[in-house]
This record gives sequence, structure tokens and C-alpha cells, in this order.
Amino acid sequence: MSTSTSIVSHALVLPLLIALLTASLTLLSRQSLKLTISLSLLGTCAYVASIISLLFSVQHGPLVYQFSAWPAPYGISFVADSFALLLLCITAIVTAGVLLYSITTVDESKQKFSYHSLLHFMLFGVTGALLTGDLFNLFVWFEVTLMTSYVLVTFYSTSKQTKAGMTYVVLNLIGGAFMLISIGGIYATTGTLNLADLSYRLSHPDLYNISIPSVILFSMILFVVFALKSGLVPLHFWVPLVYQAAPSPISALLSGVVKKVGLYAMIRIFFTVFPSGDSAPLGEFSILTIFGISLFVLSATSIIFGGISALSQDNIDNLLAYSSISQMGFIMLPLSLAALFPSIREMALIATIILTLNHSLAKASLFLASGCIKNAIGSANLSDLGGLSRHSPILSISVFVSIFSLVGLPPVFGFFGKLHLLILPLNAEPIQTMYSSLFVLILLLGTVLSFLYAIRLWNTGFWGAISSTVSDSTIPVQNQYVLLFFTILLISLGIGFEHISPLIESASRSAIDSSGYIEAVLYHR
Amino acid sequence: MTPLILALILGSLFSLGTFLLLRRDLLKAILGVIILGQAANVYLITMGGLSGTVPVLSTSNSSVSITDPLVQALVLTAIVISLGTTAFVLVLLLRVYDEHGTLDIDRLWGQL
Repeated sequence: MSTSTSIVSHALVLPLLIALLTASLTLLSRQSLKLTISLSLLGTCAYVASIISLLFSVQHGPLVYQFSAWPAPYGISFVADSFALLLLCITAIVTAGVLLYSITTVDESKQKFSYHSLLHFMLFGVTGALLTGDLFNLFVWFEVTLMTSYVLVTFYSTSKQTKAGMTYVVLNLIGGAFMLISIGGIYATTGTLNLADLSYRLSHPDLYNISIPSVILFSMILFVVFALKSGLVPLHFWVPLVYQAAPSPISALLSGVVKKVGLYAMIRIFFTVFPSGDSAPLGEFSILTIFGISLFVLSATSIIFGGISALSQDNIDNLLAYSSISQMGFIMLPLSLAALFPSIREMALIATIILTLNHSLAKASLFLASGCIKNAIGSANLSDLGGLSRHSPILSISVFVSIFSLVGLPPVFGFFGKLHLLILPLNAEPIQTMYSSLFVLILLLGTVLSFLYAIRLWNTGFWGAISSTVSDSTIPVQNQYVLLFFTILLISLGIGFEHISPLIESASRSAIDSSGYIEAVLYHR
Repeated sequence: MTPLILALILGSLFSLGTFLLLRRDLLKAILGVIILGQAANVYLITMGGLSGTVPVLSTSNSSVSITDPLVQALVLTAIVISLGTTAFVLVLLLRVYDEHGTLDIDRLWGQL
């Protein structure tokens, strides 16, 4: 390989190093808050810049970095393809927005304490989890991300937070134990942990003496762990508890970034690694059909359950949390079709990616808006609110755009996600009618439910007479500008969709390109 | 013989962990989670194969089968991670007790 390429692959660890360095420096500079904040902002800018430059350099094929130059199946490889980098890009943007919001709202003593370094350690963990090409390494990065999120969820350690934090920690510890069990099982049956090598060996099961039924068993355990992390029904019960108790910027990060790590891992494992070995050993069932059917049931239940529960919530954070469960269902539903019908895999992945980006931006903006309301008014209950649209127009505009982007109305970004969902069954003729009609039915029902809770949030909180609690309060303008940043992004991504659709298409192609992944990791030394 | 003993130990560790996890006392539930995590570590060790000698590279008698050293490295990492999370969860337990004055799960989360 030429030297220029190897320099680019060294650049692959740059975001990781930047996040780690910023986290350590902000920890060391605790004496001066100004220094901490400026280091933190500087680090975030550098992080965003490194991610965006990497995003454009991987458009022609994935970049691979082998740690300590150990060749692929023996060492730990880091793989950056356009799918991972697109998600990292949205991670960087959401984190930057949350950071700007936190600077003005989180107590100064708390910011001095370790808030900034925790945020950057979380970024560090997410970066690692999205870039790693090794199954056990993925577990380690999950734990790094979760460890910081435990601390951030219980940051003020109020009575609510300690209780919610306890549920969150215990559930994730059990999830971690199960993930270890499944990783151990996959290693024992296939003899490798490197994702590319795993994919290669699964395509030659006889050569490596792999029993596919055991791989199916362990991959299903892995699926349950990822479903727990992304909060699908019936593993959703921690979501409202944690999102309501955690500080608002942290809820924004959890729903916008951390949940997406579980989603990413699911797509990476089931669509990049497993398809190559997707022969059918159990009668008609292969790994992907079992995965697809289970995912279809779980995500359809999530859409309906989350939508109905969100309708009856009085607390804004609870409403957003249940809406997040429902939206996660929308994100996963095309994946189940993609698993069942290979012909529409790329289109389904496009829908998933658009919905993911849209949900990250919109939900982060909504949680920050709820934080603004809570700080100023002291309550996030819809019954205490009213008339916010006249009271604080900037906040209201951003909430309006975000909720309708979640519902999927044009011209906002979310519309294109829903559009791609709806044309999915039309474009794929071989789809069995049972699946496509069920799919459309659930989709329409879910959209109606999200429309209803969006309207309810808007009507009771933002329209109508200004309530006494609202009129006595002022929402700081600088916080509202952060929200405006998300709003502008959502609208401009919607209007200029044609300009970013090549990025999304190449991301979805690279997410399902097993052979390209194998070749990049195993053969390009 | 060793596989049988290890399988029995693993089975009893997993059942002990699950049993403790279902207790009403939060401290016992957390001990259960910790035991489950350790059981997963022991399980991971067995995945490397139990027969074989120490994994030392040597030029002579290369035909001797060795135990897979990779899983042991994995378990070392997992132990370090579980040390950190255990410390955190115990401190959090103390905070829960400070805030609520009880560790009874029924009283903390209400009767469902």
C-alpha cells in the first residue's frame, strides 16, 4: 500500500485520541472553569472536524487501522466505513449541541466537578464502539460508554436519580453478563472474534467446522442484549424511568447517541457479519429469518405500545421517553424487512439511517427544550403549561419543527424517512403480501399515534392561554439559540436532502457490504 | 472430570446469582448481579478448552496442544471492568440507602 493511504488510516484513531485527550485535560484543569470550558469546546470542534474529514475520505471504501500493526485476525482492528462515520457525525453534532446547552445551564460547581470530562469519556466510548472491528472489543467499548452514562444519569444523585440509576445499572450489568456469554459462545463455535474473520468463516462453515445452530442461539442472545440497549418493547421499562430522572442534556445524549450504539451494533453484526453465512440449517430458518421475524414483532409492538403510552403522559419527559420507544420501533421495522427480503436490503437500510439521524437530532432538541422549560418554570407537566408559543417563540418554533420532524411532515428531514418507509413495500415486488400489508398497517397506525401525541403536546403546552406559572418565568435566550441550531439543521437537511442523500446511500451500501468489509480488513495489510 | 466439575460450578453460580437477583433486599439483588457477572467470566474461561498445557511458544515438541490463552486475556479485561462497575454499584447502593432510608425493593419501587 502507498504511504499516503497508511497516513489516512492512522487518522482513523484521531477522533478517539481527541476525545480521550480532551477528557483527560478537562479533568486536569478543574481549578479554572473557564479553562475547562474552552478546552472542552476546543476538543469538540477538533472532534467534529476530524469526523467530517474522515467521512469524506471513506466514501470510496472503508479505512482499516490495525493496532500495533498486528495483522487482522490476530490483533484488534478498527474499521471506519461510511455507515459508522455517518452515525459518528450525528453523534458529534448532537454532543456539540448538548455541550453548548450545558455550559449555560449546568451548575458551575458541577461543571467544575467532572461534567465535561464525563461527556468526553462518553464520546470516547461511543467512538470506540462504532469504529471497532472486534466483537470482544465492542463489549469493552459498550462498558466504557455505559460506565460514564451511569455517572451522568445519577449526576445530581437526587432521590429520583439514585433509584432510576440503580435500575439502569443493574439492567445493564445483567445485559453485560449475557453479552459475555454470547461472545464466549461465538468464540467457542467459530474460533474468532474479529468481525471480518467471523463473517468469512461463517461463509465457509464446513471448512472451519462451525455448527450454525449454535451460532443462531448465541446471536439471538446478542440480539436480546442489543434490544435491551436500544429499549425495544418488552425490554423498554428502563427508558421512561431513566429519561425522566436524568438531567435533560443527559437524556438528550442517551436518546440521541447511546441508544444508537445498540442500533449500530445490531446492524453491524446482523447485516455485515451474518449474511455471508446465511445458509438455512434449521429447515427454513436461517440466522436472518429468525432475527427478522423477532425484530418485526418487537418493533411493531414498540411502535404501537410507545405511541399509545405517550398519548396518556402528562410529564413532557415521560411523553418523550415513550415516543422514543415508538420511534425506535420505526427505526427497526425496516431492518426486519431487510433481514427477511435481501432484495430490498439497501432501500430498507436507507430508511433506517434517515430515521436514525432524524430521531437523534429531533429528540435531542426536544429533551433540551424540556430542560429549558423545567429550569425556567420548575415543572415539566403539561397541566402546568400553556401558551408557551406566545411566551417564548424561539423555543416553540424549535419544538414545533422537532415534533413534526418526528411525525414526518414535509419539508422537514423526518418526512424523507417516512417516505422511504412507505415506498419500501411498493418497490419490492417479491415481498409477500402478508408482510407488506401488516407493515403498512403498523406504519400508518404508528404515524397516527405519533401525530396525536405531537398535537397533544403542542396544543396543551404551547397554544392556549398563558398559564400563571408560565407568565412568571423567563427562559434564557442563549439556551433557546442552541435549540434553534437543531431546528435549522432539521429544516436544511429536509430542504437540501438531495445533497446529503449520496452520503446516506453510501452508508447503507457499506452497512450491507460483507465482502467489502472482509476484503478491507483481512486482505489490505 | 474437570469439565464436569466446572459445569456443575457454573450451573450453581448461575442459579445462585439468579436466586439472589430475585430477593427483595436490594443488596442481595446486587450481589446476585455480581455473581452472575463472575459466572459469565468462569464460563468464558471454559470456552478456551481445558485440556492442554501452558501456552508457551517453544521450538521443541510443538505437537503438544496448548490451552487457548486468548480467553484468559478476555477474562482479565472483563474482571477489570467488573471491578469498576462493582465499586460504582456499591457506592450507588449507599446513596440509595441515604436518599430513601430503605433497601427493600418493594418499598423503593412500590408494589406493582
